[in-house]
Amino acid sequence: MIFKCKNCGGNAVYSPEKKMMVCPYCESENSYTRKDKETTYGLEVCPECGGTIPVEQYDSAMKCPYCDNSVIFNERVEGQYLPKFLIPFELGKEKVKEMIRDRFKKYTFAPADFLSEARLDSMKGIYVPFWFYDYQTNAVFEGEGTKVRSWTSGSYRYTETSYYSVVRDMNIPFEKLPADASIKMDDSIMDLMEPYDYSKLKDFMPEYLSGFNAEYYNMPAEEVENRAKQKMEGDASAILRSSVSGYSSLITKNQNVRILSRNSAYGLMPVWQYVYEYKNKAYPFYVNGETGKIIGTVPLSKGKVWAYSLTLWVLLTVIFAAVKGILGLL
Amino acid sequence: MDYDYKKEERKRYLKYFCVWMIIAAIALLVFGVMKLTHKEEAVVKNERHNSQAPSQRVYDYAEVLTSSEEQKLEELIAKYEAESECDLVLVTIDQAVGLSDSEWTNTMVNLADDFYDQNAFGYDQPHGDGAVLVDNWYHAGQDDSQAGAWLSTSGKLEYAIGESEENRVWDALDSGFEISTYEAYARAMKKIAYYGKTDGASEPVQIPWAVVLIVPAVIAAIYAGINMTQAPGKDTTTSTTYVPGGRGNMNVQRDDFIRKNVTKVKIETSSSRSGGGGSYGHHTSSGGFSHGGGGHRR
Repeated sequence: MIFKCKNCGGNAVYSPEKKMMVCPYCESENSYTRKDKETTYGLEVCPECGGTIPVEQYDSAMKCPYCDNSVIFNERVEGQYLPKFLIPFELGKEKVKEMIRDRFKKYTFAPADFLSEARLDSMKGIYVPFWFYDYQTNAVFEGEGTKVRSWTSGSYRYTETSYYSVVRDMNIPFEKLPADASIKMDDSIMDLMEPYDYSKLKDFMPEYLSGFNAEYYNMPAEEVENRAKQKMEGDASAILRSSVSGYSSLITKNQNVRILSRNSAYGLMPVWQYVYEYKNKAYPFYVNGETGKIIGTVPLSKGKVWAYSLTLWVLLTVIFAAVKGILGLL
Repeated sequence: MDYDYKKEERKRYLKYFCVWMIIAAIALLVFGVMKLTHKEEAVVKNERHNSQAPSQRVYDYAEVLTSSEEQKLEELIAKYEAESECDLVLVTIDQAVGLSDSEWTNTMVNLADDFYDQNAFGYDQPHGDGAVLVDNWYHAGQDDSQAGAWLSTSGKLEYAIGESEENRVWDALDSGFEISTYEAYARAMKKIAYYGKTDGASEPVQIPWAVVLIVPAVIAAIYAGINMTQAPGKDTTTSTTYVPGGRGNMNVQRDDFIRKNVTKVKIETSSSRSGGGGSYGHHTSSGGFSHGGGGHRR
């Protein structure tokens, strides 16, 4: 499907700034029609121009490289691939460019064109598929804690150690623990994108995808659940332990997190991706399209590092030597 | 395009180091101007004016030095004397002077002052500039130790050596004792002579060449290190990010006392009696001469 402006026939896209469908050509707001594919050709054929779109296995939305219209593949956002919810892009491209510039302008050793307009403009907005897991858990801790008290009486120092049996049993619910279901996206990077603000969750509508790239889940919920489960177990243990306080030492005798019930849901999260190529190496940057959190490492120009460090060294040595000379003459 | 970036990079580089370059230039300029206008102050050496005092400086009554060490100390002191223009005398004794701090101090003061007065030491004149270090070895290292040193200062040293300078002398003495008795006296004499030479002026700030060469290199290395390492981002989730309400529901919370045990340890009272002595301040000796100084028991 594509979304077309009622007034000029241009491609209507979702605007994060205005939070509605906008035609970038005639600036009409919320005035569009949905045009579905009329033929039964394969999904790689653009419904607008008939060109062949280089669709990859998991793509559910992308731009037609010929007519530049934003195409959403019906078969990949419906039925079993219908996302339960998504967070629409809150930050538009211009805003994110500005944020990246702000954040990285102090990086002296980044290559010269790292923040150039031409490079930054290649940034893409992607809806990344995530599985979200709900858990109802029962967490139990059993251990032995000690409290130490000491005092002085006469010429003796007394130390009293009291031993306590410590038991905690709590039910901890977890809601929407995310794990990304995209092979392209590095798991550790996607983990760093968290957290998302779930108050911005919306029911899925294909309109949100217009103007952006999207994937559907690359693997079923069971395959990525382990990551969410590990996080849940770590968090549950931390919550359990933080409920024990006031002891000078604590020995764990038994600690166990049991899952009472579980649930999973499929959703899409907004991520801006900027890939900077430097000396044949790709440096990807990811920006949380909702919160603006930026993840990525800046490529370093080794020549600059050397030049700056050596300059600093020489200047400092000159200053130190001159100060030494001055003090010697005082 | 490529050229533009290079030009921009050069501008950026110059801007980045602008302040540092100005500081370096000013420092060099100040140094240059000072070097040109600086005149070596002619050091006027005063001759010794005292024919009354004996030429011996090391009196090892306690016999804690070998004769060759005595000889070496005499030579060392002769050199320090010429530099500081002060008579520097070392006396070691092994005699009871009193166990209590007040008794010990009184006896040591008188011993030191009288020794200096009776021998009429003084570089500029009899009873003039100089100091005597009296070191008592009586029962050293035993429970009833009366060991310790007393420094009696006269003339310009009386004013050049205050309490903090005195403590430096004791520090020098103690650090020397860790090596040898000879080293202890040599270091103490060197310190005393130093205060005579500088008239007690504070030590000039000297930056060692090692610092000049190493510190900037270390700073530059740290700078490079900091700028080369970067984390992709921070984990900003906490253990309760995905827990609605931020907490779990406690079903059971028990903290049951099981048992306790008590241990007792005797407190060791420190039996060492260090720190006796202290600065004694200015006073007039029985011979009618003004002295300063202080003691240091061990």
